[in-house]
Amino acid sequence: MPSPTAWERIGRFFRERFPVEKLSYDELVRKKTVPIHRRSWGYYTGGLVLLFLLIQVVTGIFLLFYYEPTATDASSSIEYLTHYVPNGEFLRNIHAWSASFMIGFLLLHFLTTLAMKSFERPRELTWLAGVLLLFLTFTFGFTGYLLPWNQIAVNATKVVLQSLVQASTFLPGGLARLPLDVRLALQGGESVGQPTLSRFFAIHVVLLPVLLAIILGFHLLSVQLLGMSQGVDTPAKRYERFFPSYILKDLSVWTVAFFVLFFLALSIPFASFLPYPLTEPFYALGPTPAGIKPEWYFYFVYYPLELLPFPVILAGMTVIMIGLFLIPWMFRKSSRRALTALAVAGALYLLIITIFGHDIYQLVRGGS
Amino acid sequence: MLVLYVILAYIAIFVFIVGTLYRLRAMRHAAATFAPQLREARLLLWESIPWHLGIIIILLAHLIELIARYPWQLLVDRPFALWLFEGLGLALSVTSFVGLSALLIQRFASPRLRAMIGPIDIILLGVLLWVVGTGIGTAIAYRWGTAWSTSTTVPYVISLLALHPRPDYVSALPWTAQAHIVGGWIFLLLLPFSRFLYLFLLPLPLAPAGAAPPLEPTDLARRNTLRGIAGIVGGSVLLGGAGLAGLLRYLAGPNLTREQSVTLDQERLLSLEQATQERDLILQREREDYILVAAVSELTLTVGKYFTDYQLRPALAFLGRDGFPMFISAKCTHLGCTVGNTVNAKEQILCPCHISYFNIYSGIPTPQSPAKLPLPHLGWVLRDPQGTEIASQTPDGRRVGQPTPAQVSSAQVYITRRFSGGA
Repeated sequence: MPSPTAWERIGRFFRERFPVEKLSYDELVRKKTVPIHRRSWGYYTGGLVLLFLLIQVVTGIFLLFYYEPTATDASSSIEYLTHYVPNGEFLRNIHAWSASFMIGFLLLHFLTTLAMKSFERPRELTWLAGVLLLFLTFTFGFTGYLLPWNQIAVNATKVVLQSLVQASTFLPGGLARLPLDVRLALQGGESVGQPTLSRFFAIHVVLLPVLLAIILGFHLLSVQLLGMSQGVDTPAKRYERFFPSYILKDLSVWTVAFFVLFFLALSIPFASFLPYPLTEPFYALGPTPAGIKPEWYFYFVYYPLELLPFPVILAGMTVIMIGLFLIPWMFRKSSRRALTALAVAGALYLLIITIFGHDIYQLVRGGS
Repeated sequence: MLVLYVILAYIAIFVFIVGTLYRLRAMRHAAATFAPQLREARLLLWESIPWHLGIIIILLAHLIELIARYPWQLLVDRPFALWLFEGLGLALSVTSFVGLSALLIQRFASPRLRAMIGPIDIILLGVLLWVVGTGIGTAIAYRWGTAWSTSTTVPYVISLLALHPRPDYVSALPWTAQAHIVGGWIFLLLLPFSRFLYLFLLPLPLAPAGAAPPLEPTDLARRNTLRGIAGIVGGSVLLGGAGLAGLLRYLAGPNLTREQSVTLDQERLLSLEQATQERDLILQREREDYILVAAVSELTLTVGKYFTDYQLRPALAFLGRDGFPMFISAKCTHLGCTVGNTVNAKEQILCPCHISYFNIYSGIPTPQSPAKLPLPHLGWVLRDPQGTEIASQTPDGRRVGQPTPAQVSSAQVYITRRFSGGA
């Protein structure tokens, strides 16, 4: 028997990972089951991310009715929306809280799928799509942060874009030009201004949603075609039907999550975590106020950046980002116990640096 | 006051803890013999569930308020949250009152159950009704209890738990509130002696088991599915209706008062003026070879004047020790924040973003600063009031011209295109 050609091997690879023949009512609804075991709760984390994404899309669309993406009017349009438009503050709060919830649950989803070894063959492509979605979501957070055009928004964006200049000094040869070109492409000029706002707005409301829809569509469809991963080393003894049992449970979890979000958005303005000077409209000709920081979900890279030499962070982040894509192959033979230890270590790092990052910074540097 | 709010309170807490622990050990038998009587109840839906649902959430809210007093205060400072909690609290109190009343009626109506109730149980039920009733009365007559309780009843209970009792926190409260508190202590005191301790267990273990034949798994699944779907549809309709109403108001926009319109338009005008100012700066830098920064007499040694260079980067103008102007970039060499303009006792200016201190004369950051490169100095040109150039200094400090101090102090200082590559 002749050995298969490269094309045949590629075709076989994709057929195994994307079995379109299962695209039927029977396979996707009637026969589909979900394993029941002690880690079953992990299956709900992805659904929660989807819920918060949907909330982001809906609330984002309605925020567009009032938001004006110009350097002169962005801040005042937000002010108008928040303080004058009926339910405007609530809608903006939901959008802001939901963004944080989405990223929080996305990180939890990432860690649980890592611990459950959900990237195992034939789910490598699902994992790759998931990693892309992780990066896209962080980019959503970064680009959305600038849109209110207040002091913290503009100055934090300036700092991030300026760090690209710093990165270029550590890169060799022609590569050094790359971060500078990226910065110029994003910034649209010598400094952060109207061209930057226009670019970030376009990226946030058009480019990223389109990319996200495509990759998320692939991710969800592959999850549906391949089914839930086993999740534990010993195959589960019990299964439940995907429809209606699992779906109803999933919807119950969504309901609880939605009401938690609803009450938070109703009760605590997201902006209340920032002192007033930081939420003042940005004024280009004044000094940068103290306390400029990124959103909490960037603390895991912000505080190390503050404490360690830039090249160390640059190299570390590059390795980690590439490593995330290679996880299905790097940990192919690892047990779930080992992966769980890795995920727990990752979770601990994220929790500690996010909650105590400022204290650690003060401890190391002394003073604030 | 001391007797009711301190001695009674401590006795009640002590008896409740010790008595409940003791009773819980004996409860296995009691629940086994008593609970089946309840299984006769056809009204579980209308009594046990409303009672438990209402009282558990209300008690939880009391507990959360006690544990997380300050976050709770933050929450109820928001009018929306205050209204919501008041509304929900009242609704749940009424729900539990109705459920409790139904439970009482059922117990007295059923001869078998009546026979099992002792005098202490009757007293306890009366006290319970009293506590819930006075709670409802306080909620109606003295609104916003979710807010005022954080500075009255909560610190009172905390003072008890801290063993520094402060009855004065509650002694001035209206009589309904005082009756509610005292009733609560009496209830705690009596509870361990009553058979109704089980009332505070979740209703789930007491679900009817003997009356109806067990459901087949498929029936159960179907029934749960239908209930789930009905719940989703019902919830969606309610939520959708409320959401749609709110959304329409959102889209219709506000009805602004005249003052609000004026304030908003003023803010917008200010923003446009700032934008005009920025655009003017750009245009000026494109057209002019000299740009006025300040009169030398305006400059000081300790507070710099902000201006922007030819590339629109921020910079600061000081008066140097020699009486001549001194220009230094205000763009932090770490990550580009704009540094502060006030000089400290060590002749340093601070970048507040990541705490870098720069010496204003050398521009060099302190070794501890995250910034490692010095802030560059900028060149300048001095012109007398007639516009004649009397001195200049390049970015690297080379000076041309020897004006007198009087000439300097009456001159104006400019940045010039010919030095613009220096910063």
